[in-house]
Amino acid sequence: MKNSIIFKVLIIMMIISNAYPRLAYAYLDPATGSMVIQAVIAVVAAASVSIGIFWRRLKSFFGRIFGSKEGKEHDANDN
Amino acid sequence: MTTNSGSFRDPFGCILTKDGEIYRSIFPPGVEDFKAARDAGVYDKLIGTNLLISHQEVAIENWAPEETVYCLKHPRLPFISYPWEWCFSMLKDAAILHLEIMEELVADGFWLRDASAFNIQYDGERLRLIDTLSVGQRIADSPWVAYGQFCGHFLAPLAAAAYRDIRTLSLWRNYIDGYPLDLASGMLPLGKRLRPGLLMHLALHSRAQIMADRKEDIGKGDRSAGKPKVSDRGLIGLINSLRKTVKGINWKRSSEIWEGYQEIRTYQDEDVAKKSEYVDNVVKRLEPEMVWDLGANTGEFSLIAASEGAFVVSIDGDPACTEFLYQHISRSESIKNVLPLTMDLANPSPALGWDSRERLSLRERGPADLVLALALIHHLVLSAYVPMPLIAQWFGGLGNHLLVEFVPPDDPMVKKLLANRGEEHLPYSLDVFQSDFGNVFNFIDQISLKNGRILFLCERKKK
Repeated sequence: MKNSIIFKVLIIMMIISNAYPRLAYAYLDPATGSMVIQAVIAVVAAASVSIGIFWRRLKSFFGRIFGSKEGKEHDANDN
Repeated sequence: MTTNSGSFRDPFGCILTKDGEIYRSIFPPGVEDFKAARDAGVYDKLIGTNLLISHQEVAIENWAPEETVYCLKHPRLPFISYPWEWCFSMLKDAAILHLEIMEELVADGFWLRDASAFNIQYDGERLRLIDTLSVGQRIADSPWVAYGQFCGHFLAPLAAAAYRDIRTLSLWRNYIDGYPLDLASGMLPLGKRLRPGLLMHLALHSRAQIMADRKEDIGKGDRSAGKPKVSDRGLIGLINSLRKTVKGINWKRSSEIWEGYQEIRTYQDEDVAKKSEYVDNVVKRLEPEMVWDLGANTGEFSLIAASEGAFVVSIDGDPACTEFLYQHISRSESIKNVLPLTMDLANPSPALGWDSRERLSLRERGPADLVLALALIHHLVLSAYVPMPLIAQWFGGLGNHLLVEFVPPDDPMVKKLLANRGEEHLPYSLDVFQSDFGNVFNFIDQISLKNGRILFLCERKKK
């Protein structure tokens, strides 16, 4: 699922900014291409990691409020 | 002392063999990363979790290269294999191992400087990273330097093998620094190419490579300006995405014939039991450390040899057979000392790489203590058209002892091979076999099966 989110955001970014066909890095070797595409993917991937962290914290927070076992486990892991 | 031919590319160090022991010299450019990883406990952590080959620091002897700053001693691996010999799941496991290591390292501020399939080997227990110097300090905000290599070494061959044809794994023999991404991406059916993970890491990745390589951009722009950046969180996200993509690539075998191998076999249970017992006895008698089972099929006899404690390299030309055996061993708790490899025995692994000395041929990785050639030579003579004397000489270069099965000309399998050939085939009879093999080997024992097949135990003649 994460991949498809990353992918959709990537496509939207491309359409909006039309950035992809005009990536302005004038390098020569294929390694550069790997760096550039990776940087683009990583921006979106970072967001999905952040969402994941936020989601776990949210679950842990509500877990604590309602005193569920899951919340306590997450607390233990966080420490 | 000899320098390992496969490690000359690395400016950080090299591998040496001295009196059968394996050492690693670390040169000045590799010192900073080595000390940092050692002092941060990164090596201990990776070795403790069975991800990295172990090492101990030893004194620098006078045989070490002049520029050596540190010297490490590693355990010796039973057999070095190459990705063009691996089955699908072994390559996939090697990919996942890289990502697991990356995940561990990134948390400590380190990463892998490269992601080469050659850095993963089977040590008789599990796959491990064998290149200690691949571990380096993460360059802050830098993209993963080995991302392109990871995709070329793992993602591209796995996707092509799973979604185009499993036989494309043999392309490794040509592309020894990984598959060109545009080649692999172009091989995928459209539906697979558009899968999010493969689209990002293969198709768009290869487009970005091509664009970065445009000739009209030469001399334009400042190379240092606008360097792409990847945050720590972005790197973790990238690793997660790669792992999900790799795990999602599954090879669905179209042929199930090999699973019914025991049913379609042309000989009887009584003979199978006798043959198994004989193989077991030979292994017990010779106590070989290294057995090569050539034409192993699904590894029935490899497993017998392994159960007596030998390390068995189990070779077959059918990638479905090696895949079957690999999965069997992966699931097994007890048998670990078997390495299944895919290889056409009429065209065995050649020496490859720079000056044809970087990666060794099959023969150069021998000799084995015992070679098994069960139900093999009739295929080599009658299907691959290799004359019997050449086969005998080839075996003579591979191992000290040979257990070979002669399948008589009136055997149903031989008849099937000859069905459309009439009389136009190479000489094939028991007399020819005994005469040609007798030139290279001494026959030391033999046993006849009910179906007319004969097993010969041979020892190579002293030169």
